[in-house]
Amino acid sequence: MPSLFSLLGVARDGMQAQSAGVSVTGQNISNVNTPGYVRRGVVLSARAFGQDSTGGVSVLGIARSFNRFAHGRVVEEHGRRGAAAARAEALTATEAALSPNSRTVADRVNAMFQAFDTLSGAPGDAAARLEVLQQSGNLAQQVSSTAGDLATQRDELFTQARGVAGEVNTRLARIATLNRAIAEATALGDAGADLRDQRDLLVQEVGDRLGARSIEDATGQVTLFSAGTVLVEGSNASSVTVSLDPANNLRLTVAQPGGATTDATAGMTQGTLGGLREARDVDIVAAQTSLDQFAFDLATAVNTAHAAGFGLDAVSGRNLFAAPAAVAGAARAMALDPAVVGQPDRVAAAAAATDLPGGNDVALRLAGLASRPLGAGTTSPAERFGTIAADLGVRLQSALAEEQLRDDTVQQAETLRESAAGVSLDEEMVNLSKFQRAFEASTRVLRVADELLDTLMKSF
Amino acid sequence: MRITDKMALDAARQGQSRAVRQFTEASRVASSGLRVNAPSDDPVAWSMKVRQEAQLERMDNRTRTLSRAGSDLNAAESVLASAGDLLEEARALAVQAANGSIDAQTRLNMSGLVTALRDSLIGLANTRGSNGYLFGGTATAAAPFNAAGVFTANDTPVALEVADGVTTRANASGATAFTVAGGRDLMADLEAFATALSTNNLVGIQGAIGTMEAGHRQLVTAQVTTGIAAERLHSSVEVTSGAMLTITTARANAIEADALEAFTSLSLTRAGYERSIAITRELLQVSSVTR
Repeated sequence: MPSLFSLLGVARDGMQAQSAGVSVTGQNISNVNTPGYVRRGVVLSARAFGQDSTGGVSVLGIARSFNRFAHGRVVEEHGRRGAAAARAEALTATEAALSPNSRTVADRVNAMFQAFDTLSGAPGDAAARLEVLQQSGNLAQQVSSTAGDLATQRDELFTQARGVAGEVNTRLARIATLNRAIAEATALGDAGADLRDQRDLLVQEVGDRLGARSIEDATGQVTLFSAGTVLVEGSNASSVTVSLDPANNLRLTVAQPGGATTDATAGMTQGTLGGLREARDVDIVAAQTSLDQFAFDLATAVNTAHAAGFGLDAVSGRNLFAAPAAVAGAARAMALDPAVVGQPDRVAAAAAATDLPGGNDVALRLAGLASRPLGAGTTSPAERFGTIAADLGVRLQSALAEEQLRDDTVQQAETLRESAAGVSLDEEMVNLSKFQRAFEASTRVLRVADELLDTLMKSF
Repeated sequence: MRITDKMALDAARQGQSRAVRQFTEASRVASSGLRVNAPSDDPVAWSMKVRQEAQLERMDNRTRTLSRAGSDLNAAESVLASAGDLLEEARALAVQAANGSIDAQTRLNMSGLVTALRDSLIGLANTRGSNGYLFGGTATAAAPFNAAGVFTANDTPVALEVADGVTTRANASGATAFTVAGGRDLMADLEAFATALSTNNLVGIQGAIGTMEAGHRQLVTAQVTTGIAAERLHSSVEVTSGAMLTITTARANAIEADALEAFTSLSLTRAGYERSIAITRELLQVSSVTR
């Protein structure tokens, strides 16, 4: 049978256990807004009340309310949202470059054809000829600068991707370091809750940037998979590098701790890097290709019509635009032909030298291009550009819808995780009262034990 | 499911953020009056807008060009009417000079009048319009008739597009109005008449009555042809303007916001935003911590 003295031990255990409860509750309250913090709970166990034990309570440890499945979903959804958000942000800038609020390429196309139309009504008029050169030059400059903006944006996205890769590497190294610390703590019997909080937050941050999936082993260390390869295994971290391949597309290489490198470009589909890659190497490239084809077809069509005509100097065979060498790069290189720059008399309006200066057949043909299918397509020049802008609009619309969807799925996943791991202040306030009351009761037990002993002492 | 403070506040924050976004978008639509500002707002509508704007720009410019050419044709028509008056005057002189009671001196004096009429006719035939000489064909830079009344220009028609792929002649034909291409060379006929008068050639003078009448008919025919061409251009302008109105309406329907709908949406999203703020405030107040 336990002795009366053992009651003192029971009271002591109770006070210690409730103190631990108050401490953990306090920690929970103070970390209510700490990112990645997982609420703790003190694990109490009753001591058996028997021959060899005085009963009471013991603190077995502190448990994290961590739901690995919910955390995995959060990381996964963050990866998807990261991709959608990065793509949407990049394409918003692309849309602004392709379709500014005023003076779009389509507006310039219209202005050029208006100038041709005016020329057809006044083929000998110097002002009408100057207007043709002015508007054609404006169009060429606008197409070229739009192509330049797209190229610059691709460069900027590459720089951004490299920055993100640097952020990923920093986090991979810290995850590896924390893995080691967690394994050491686990070996010493410590749960390493704070270390795990930090590490799991880092895993989520890697997920944001590149997408991630992690598996925890018995020692508490996680193996981190991303971009189709292992990025962290135990205390070893790989490093990722973003570079450009010969086709000027993003390439992701992973350098393993042993020195081997792998090309993980195909796996770069999630996170900010996945979104940047999609926007840079798929969406913007599509816009560039279409713009190049547009510039090539437009310059070729105008040149063909123009070269058939005669300038006021009775010379034929001149181009209005510098002849594009190839489709690729045609938009960036678009410019007025040097032979006509500043030479309004060289603008061709008449179909024959004998029709000068009032002949307008060629001017009519040039103006007529405005409503004829451009190149091998089926739409007029302005419509063709409208289609290019609309195609990008569809892509941006889809990216924005995806981003909104992913916001919702991230919210759902975080709700699921938060439901298990989050701190509820109401709950903690109740816990605080609970432990406080229990502590008070334990002190009461102590007082009773003390009084009993006192009574016992005085009876002798 | 446990509901933590963060979950409640996150939900409120997300709701508020969505409400702000919707309110901002509704404000933009209401203030700009445009439903479609960028391709991503409605790619199909944007594409239609670009096509319609191209059509409108083209039509707008076409109406200006056609109006200007129509004005030139009206001017040419007026010149031809004046030229007809000159020929009528010349015919009257021929009738008068054919009278046997007129003596040689009077006919000589009348010859001077006919020469002046011919010079006036040359002057009329060399009238300039907004785009060079009206009767020079494509040779608009130089006077089509020289001082001797010889036609030095061409009869090349200048066409303008009245609809996509449809053209019509937009210049008056000086050749058919004043030269043998139209039947009579009016300058030469007047020259011959003046010569007949100065040489007191009664047969020639009597013959001039017929040639002046033929010349007058030639000018009337040219005037009618030119008037019809001008009318065709003006009709095209009217038709194009009507089409522009239709396209402008279609464009407005595609990209502009319905005012009532826009302001209703603004009110609704504003109410939604205010509700989300109120809910957040409520959430912040309801807590056991503050009790």
